[in-house]
Amino acid sequence: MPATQQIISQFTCPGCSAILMPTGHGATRCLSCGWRGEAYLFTPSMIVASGAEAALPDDATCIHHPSKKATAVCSGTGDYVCSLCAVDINGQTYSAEYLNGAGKATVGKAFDRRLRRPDSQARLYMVLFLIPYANVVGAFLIPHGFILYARALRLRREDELFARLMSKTSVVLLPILLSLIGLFWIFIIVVLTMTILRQVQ
Amino acid sequence: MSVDLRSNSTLGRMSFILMDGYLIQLEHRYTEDRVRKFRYESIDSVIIWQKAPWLRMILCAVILGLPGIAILFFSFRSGFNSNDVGETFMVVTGSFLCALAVGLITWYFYCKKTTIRIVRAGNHHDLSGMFRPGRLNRFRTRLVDGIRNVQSRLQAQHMESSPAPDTGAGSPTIEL
Repeated sequence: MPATQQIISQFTCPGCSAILMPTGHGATRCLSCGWRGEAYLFTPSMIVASGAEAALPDDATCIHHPSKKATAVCSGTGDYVCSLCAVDINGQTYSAEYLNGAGKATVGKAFDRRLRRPDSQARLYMVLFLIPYANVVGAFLIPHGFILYARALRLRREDELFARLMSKTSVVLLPILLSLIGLFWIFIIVVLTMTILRQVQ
Repeated sequence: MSVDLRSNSTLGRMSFILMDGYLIQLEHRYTEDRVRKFRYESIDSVIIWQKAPWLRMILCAVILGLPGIAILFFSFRSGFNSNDVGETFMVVTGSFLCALAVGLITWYFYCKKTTIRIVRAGNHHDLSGMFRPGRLNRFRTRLVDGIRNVQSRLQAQHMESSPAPDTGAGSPTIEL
């Protein structure tokens, strides 16, 4: 799609919603409410939607625009849609009408991206280990540490963002720390069992 | 972990990363992060302002400072005896609470509550938190420079791809 540049020369004051036109970049002040801050204005590129291709007599047509040629099938309704109606979300094409009907929350969730964090999971286990009765799963932390290690390695390969967030050292430390906690738990259980057995004898 | 800006508050932890022409916001949760990306080329404006977090500062003074002062007051009013372990403990506790309150209030006043407003296509999204001034300055410089570079590059590409307007400079003129 073609893009055009748009020059921004004003912004809305966060304090009183007045329109401010800063003279230069940087420190700015609102004369009506006294708000002080910094404003940096840019020239964003605006994507201009080109008109959908007109349909020829034998062409499939868009369900919402009968004179336009269909270019995709909506994954939600199965209808033919033109390039104006088609919205691509996570590799699936939906029509704008379908998304509009689904509601803002559903559409928002569809655009939501999440990044799995095995390191946060490991941190959570470490905290849980300190809570009495929740730490009975301590022994399972050893195999689970290695599962998280494999997951973190794969994520580092596949996701550049994760690779930036988690260094190689942190990935290696993950199973080591969890194994140490697991071993500590096993040691405590063995010591407790032996103490009880001695007292019984 | 290389994160450009980090915010820790009672309501949630957040990190901001500048990467590959994007401002990435990570909302940390227990086992995953929610990722929000802002493309440099679509950002209209960035507005940054700071406010002193008065509520936090007052809460700090009430919860830590006042009990500390009260403990010190009652210890010294009854005549402080350094040989008495109980009284020494009271003075140490009171001093510790006062120092903690003063330290936290100073820290809050130094960092201030910062809001970074990103405006895209008329809609704004606020990123707020308490950031160290040095880190915030570096982040702001990198963000603003990054946006300017990306947008000027796009502008240059746009100028190159669009045909030059026909001014008639090179066309033959007919004199009547």
